[in-house]
Amino acid sequence: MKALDIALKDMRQSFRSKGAIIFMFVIPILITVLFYFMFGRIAGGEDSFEVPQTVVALANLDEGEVPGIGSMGAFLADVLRGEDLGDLVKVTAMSSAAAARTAVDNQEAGIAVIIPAGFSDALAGRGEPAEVELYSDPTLTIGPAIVSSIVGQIVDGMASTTIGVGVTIERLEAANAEITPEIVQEIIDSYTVAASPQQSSALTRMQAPPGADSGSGGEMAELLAYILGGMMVFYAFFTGANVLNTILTEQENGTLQRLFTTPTSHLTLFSGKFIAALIILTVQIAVLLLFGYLVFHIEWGDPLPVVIAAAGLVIIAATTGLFLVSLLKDTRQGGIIFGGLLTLTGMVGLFTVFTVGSPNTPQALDTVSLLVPQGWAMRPFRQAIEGDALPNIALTFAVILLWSAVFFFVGQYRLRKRFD
Amino acid sequence: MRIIDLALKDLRQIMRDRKSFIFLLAMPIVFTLLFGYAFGGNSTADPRLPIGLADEDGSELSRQLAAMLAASEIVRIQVDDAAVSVLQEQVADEQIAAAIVIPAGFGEAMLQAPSTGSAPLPVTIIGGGQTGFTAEAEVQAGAARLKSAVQAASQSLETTVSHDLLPEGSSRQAYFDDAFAEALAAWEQPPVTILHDVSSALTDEEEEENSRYSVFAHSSPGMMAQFAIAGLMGAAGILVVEKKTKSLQRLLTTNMSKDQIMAGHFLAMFVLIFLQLSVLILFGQIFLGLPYLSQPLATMLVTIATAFFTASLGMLIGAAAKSQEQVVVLSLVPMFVLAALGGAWVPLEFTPEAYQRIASLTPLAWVMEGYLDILVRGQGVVAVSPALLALLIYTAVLLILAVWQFRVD
Repeated sequence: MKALDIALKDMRQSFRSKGAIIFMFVIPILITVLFYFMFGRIAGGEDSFEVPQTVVALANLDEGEVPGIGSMGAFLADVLRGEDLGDLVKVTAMSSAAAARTAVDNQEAGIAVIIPAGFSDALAGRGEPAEVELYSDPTLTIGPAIVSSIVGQIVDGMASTTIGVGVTIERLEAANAEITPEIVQEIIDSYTVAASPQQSSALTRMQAPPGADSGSGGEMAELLAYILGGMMVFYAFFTGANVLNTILTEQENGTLQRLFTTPTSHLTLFSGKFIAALIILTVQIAVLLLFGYLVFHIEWGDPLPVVIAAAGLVIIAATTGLFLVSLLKDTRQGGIIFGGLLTLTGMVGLFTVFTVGSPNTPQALDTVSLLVPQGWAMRPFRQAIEGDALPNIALTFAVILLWSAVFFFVGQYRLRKRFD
Repeated sequence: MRIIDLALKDLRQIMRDRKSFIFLLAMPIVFTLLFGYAFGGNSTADPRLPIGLADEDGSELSRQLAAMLAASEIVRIQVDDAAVSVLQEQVADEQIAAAIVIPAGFGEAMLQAPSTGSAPLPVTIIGGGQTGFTAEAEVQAGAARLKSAVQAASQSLETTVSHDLLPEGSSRQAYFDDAFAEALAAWEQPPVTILHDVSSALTDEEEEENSRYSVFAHSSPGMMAQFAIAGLMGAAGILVVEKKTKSLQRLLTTNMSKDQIMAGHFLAMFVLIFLQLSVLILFGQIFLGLPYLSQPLATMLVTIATAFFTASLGMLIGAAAKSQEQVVVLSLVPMFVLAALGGAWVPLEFTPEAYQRIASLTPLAWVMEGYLDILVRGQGVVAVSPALLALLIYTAVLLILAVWQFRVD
């Protein structure tokens, strides 16, 4: 019962501490909210990624015309300025190529589209091939890629007509046919009809990968599940360490030594502190899981796997705290160890969270994250979110218990040796 | 001189604690490398998007499309000839960015389309987000060229037949095949092409190439800025210890004024952060090939401004915190929040416009802007001067708050 009294005392102290409350609840929620705003719309609550509008500095230097059609440079410029692309592209006309490039250099535009002087002539089959220059800001990726894709498709469409007409006329000439202007116009008309929207059809179709719409509330909810789960794991280790750090605080304040003069055994005392850590961590994790479910509509997974994951986190965070405290001499060391070491190991362990969605992430980094306890603590949450099989989650839990056992025995041995 | 003595005392105190010294340097280096490798590393060898390809058709046209994708500068075929279900799993597991499935009957449908008016069978791209969009754009371009060549051959045949000009002894199929090959060959040198160029004042071609593709160009300044704030835990902790042990009160009984004491601590923090950033810049230059020293004056000015800002934040934390625990909280909270807002983790380009507007007001966004101007745009002092001004303004504001808090205490 004394252990429980000590635990309750430590719990009251923790929940009265503003710093502890900030670490336990405020920061994980704040970071998750930041990521929500980073990757979603700020108003409207739509669960989609907003493509940024790109400012395009357009320099149309085209001088020629295609007979019967007109300036192809002007046509390209009109398409870019069209309403259909208004959400993606905002065009600013420039008088020269240099001016367009300068706009990008000065970060007034994300990309410059420079239509050369011989653009129409090249498409009319006269003169040299032409190059449309796309000059982009190297720190931007999405906007220039979108504009590049749009311009590429339009230019390819124009070139296909030129190539088609050219091949047809060449083959007629090879057959010694008389190429009259009427025949040329007939050929051009047939390609124009073929390229018309009524004749165009989709050459590709997108399909979401399996599990993309698995009822997790959409991509945003799944992303937030990883972020909030990661922050929960990250700060749970701080909570465990801070609660058990009261051993050192009480030693420095002298209250620990006074407690030792009472009939309360060292074992009871340290048990009380450990129980406090377990209860506080349980409250922290339960609150964050519930908050994520109610506010962000996060589907953490089936109840049993989530309970196993939560239990694993409680145990490993508390035992890691015990182990770390046993290594420290005073609270000043605690500042650096808790702040530095836990930040380092936390970020290494949560790399799988930061790299969700990146296709170029080496698989080896998944293994690196398992070198630290935070990586193992996060793993069952990921497995629960992804609906992994219960035996796999149980196996992860078993490894967590192994880590915890080692930390617990080393930690309590060192503390008993110091204070006995 | 007393200010310098106090600063030297603080620096000796921090350097003596090897653990904090290691964290000041080890953590940003480790995380620069980890973030860089996590998001593709220095991918100058092959920065293309990894995709999988399943050709369920096996026709001449589908093979042509596969050949176009194999020669692409945007995507690289990492998995070939796997079953669609396998590719779907690999996309779901993020082993490949997207899977391309050329359906059975693709070639036949495309060949029939001009004459029958039926639609070609679409190629399926399994993926999502920006990577899916990129893969789709590349497949679209290849399929469109194939369709164009089929169209050219079909139109050429139709025109030839309609004018009764089909050569004697030549079959329609042979004529079509020749025209198709000619049209496809014409795409090797189309009348109009796209030239891609980037805005960069980097003069060394290798520096430009390396910096353009190197993900470290983002993660290096991002982690430097983030962990400069984390490093305040040690420096600001000294102020707290001074207050708790009453050393500060004893110092105040000497000839040193409050302002001199503050200046001494500020100088120590500034020197510490400046040294930290300098070592990390050298690490980036030498081991990651980042062109920090392509604009040495601009790099030095941005580093000084960053150190000023970070030191002023450290002074405020040290003045406001009452315990080591509070120092940790007050260091880590701004570290995470400012890093997230400032684009140290994820480039602000990927965030909504409103978020970018808010984020651009935060100090780390200016730090990132300054370093990216140097590393990626290759620009100098003039380009980074807005960042310098913004950081100096933040420094002034934080110092005023720190001095006020110090006096209140």
